Amino acid sequence: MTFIEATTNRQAGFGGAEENSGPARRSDFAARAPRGAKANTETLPVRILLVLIALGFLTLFIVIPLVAVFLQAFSKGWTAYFSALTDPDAISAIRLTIIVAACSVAVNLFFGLIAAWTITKYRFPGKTLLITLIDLPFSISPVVSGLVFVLLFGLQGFFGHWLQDNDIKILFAFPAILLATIFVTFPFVARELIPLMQEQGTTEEEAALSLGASGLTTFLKVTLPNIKWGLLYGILLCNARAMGEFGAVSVVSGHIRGETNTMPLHIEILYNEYQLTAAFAVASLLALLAIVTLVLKAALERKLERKR
Amino acid sequence: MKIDVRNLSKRFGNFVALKNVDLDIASGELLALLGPSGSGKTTLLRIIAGLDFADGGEVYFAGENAANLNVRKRHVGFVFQHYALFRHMTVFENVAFGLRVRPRRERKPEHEIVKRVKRLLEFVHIEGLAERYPDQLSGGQRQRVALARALAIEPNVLLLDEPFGALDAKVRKSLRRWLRDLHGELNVTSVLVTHDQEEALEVADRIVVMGNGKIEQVGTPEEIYNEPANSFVFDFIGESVKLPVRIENGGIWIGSRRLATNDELPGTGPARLFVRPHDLTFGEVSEAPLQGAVRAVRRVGALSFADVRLDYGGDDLLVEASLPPETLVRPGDLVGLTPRRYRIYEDGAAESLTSAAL
Repeated sequence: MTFIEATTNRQAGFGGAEENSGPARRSDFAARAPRGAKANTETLPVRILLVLIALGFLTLFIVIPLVAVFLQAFSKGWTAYFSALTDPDAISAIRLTIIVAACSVAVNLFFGLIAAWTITKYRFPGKTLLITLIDLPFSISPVVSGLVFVLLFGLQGFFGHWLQDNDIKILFAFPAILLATIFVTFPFVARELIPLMQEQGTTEEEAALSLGASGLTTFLKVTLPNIKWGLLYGILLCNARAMGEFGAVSVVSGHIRGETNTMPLHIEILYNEYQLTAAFAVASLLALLAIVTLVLKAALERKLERKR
Repeated sequence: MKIDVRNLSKRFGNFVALKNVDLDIASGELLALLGPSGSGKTTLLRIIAGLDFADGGEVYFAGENAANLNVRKRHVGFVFQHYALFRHMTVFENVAFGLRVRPRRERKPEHEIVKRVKRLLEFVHIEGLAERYPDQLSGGQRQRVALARALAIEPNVLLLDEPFGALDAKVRKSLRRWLRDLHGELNVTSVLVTHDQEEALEVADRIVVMGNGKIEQVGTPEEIYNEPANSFVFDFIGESVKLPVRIENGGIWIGSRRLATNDELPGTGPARLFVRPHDLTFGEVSEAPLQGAVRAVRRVGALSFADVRLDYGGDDLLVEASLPPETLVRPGDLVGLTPRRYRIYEDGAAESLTSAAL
C-alpha cells in the first residue's frame, strides 16, 4: 500500500507531467479488467477507432519526433555524428553537464533527505508553509529562477559589488550554473520521500532507539532500507532534469563556448548556426539519456510493486 | 526494577496530557494503565520510556533520576501498539537487532547472539518463523516477535502500549493469558497500557485508572472493581446504571419512594446513584423502590438481561438489569427493581457520599 500512496502523491506533485502509468494505475487496471470487459458497451468499430486515435496521437507527438532526432543525427553518416560529438566545444559541454548534474544530485540528495526527515519526523510551526515552498521550483518558470540569481550575484545585484571587490566570479561561471540547477531540481528527492516517510511514521525509528541503536545506526539500518527505492527514483528524476535543464541555466551561463555551455545550451547554439546534424547528434545523446532514465524508472517501479 | 514517577506534567499545545502525576511501580509487578483515549496513559508510558519528555516532574529508575538518560540508555523493552517491526528484516534479524547494535566492546560474539535469538524465539513459540518477514506473519505472531525483540536486550522494565489492541478477540484472550504466564516466569517489571478494562482486570497485579491526565485510582483489580474510589472509576469499570436521586432528611429518595435512610448523609440536594446491572434485584412492584415495564429480554452468552423502562416521575429511563436464571419475565410485564449494592455520588462531586449493601 505504501507505494500506491507514494506514486499517487508523486503524480499529484509533478502535475502528472510525464507519465500516468505508475503501479497504482496498473493495479487499478488489473483489478477492474474483468468487470470492465463485461461493462464494455461500445461497438467494435468504436473501440477500434478509439485505439487508433490513441496510437496515432502517440506516434505523431512522441515516436516520430524521437525517431526524427536520431535520423537527423545520422543523416550525414557515422563520421559526421562522431566528429560532432568529439568537437572540443561539445566535449566541454558534455563534461560540464555531467559535473553539474553529479554535484546537484549530491547536494539535493543531502538536503532533500534532511528536508523530508525534518518534515515527517518532527512537529514545528510553519511546516505546511515549508512543504509548499519545496514545490516552488516546480511552479515557477525556469527563466525566473535564473533571473533570481542574476539579481543576487549580478553587478547590479545584492552581492554584486562585494563579489567584484573580492574577485569572486559566480555569475556567467560554473557556480551560477550549479546554483540554478540545484534550485530547479531541488523538489525531486524531497517530494519523492515525504509521502513515503509520512506513511511509514516514526515508530520503527523509536523501536530502534529503544533497543539501544545510535541515531546514525538507526538511520542506516532502519530508515534508509525503508526508503531506498523511493530515494533512487528521486535521484533518477533529479539527474534527468539536471542534465536537461535549459531555461534557468541559459540565463546565468553567459554562453561562453567551451566554458559555460551545457549540453542543452550547446545544442541551441549549433542549431542557431544551422549546424543541424551536429545539433541533433548532441541532442540524440540527451534523448538517449531520457530513454535510459525511463527504462530504469520502469524497472524500479516494477521492483517497488513486487515489494508490495 | 522499581520506578517512581513524581509530579509529572505534560501538555501538547493547549491539551493537558498529564497533570501532576505521582506513581510508584514496584519491582517485578505487572501494572496496567487503564483509561479512555486521551486520558494520558500512553503519554505516561512514553515518558517513562524516554520517548517523550515531561514539562515538569521526574522519573526515577531504582531511585536514580532518569532525566539524563535518553531512550538508548534506559534499557526499556518497548512493545509498540502496531508492533513497529523492521519490515525489511527477517524475524531473526528483528530479534537480533538490539544485540547487534551494541557498541563493539559490549557486543556478544555472533554464535552467542544466534543462540540467544533462537532461545528467545522458542520462548515465545515462533521458532519456525525465523526466516519470515513481518508482512508474512499474522497479528498474533507479530506481537510475539515484538515481545521477543524487546526481551532480547534484557530490559530493566517492559513497557507495552496497547499490546493486544489490533488483534481479534480470540487471539487476544489467549495472548493475554500467555503474557500473564510469561510475566510470572520472567518477573520483569512491566507496565501495560490499555483501554480494555477486561484486559487490565485479568492480567494486571495492580491497575492505575486514569482520566483527563490524572490518576483516579490505584489498586488491585478487586479493589478497583468492588470499591471504585469515585464516580469516574465506577462508570469506567464494568457496566453501570446511573439514576438521579434526591438526598433529603437523611434519606435517599427515588421519586416519591425512599430507598434507604442514612444518618451520615449530609444536607439536601440532587445526587446520582450508581449500581451494577447484576446488583439490581427483581421484586414486587408495590414494594420495590423502582418500577417499570419490561421492554425486551436479551440473552448474551450465558446471561440474560432485561431492558426495563422506569417510570421516573414523568421522565422515562431505560435501564439494563441482569436476570437471575430462575426469574421469568416477558416484554410488557410490570416489574419492581431494588438496587442491592450501590454508591451515591453528589452531583458534580466525584467522591462517594456513601455506599451501601442492602
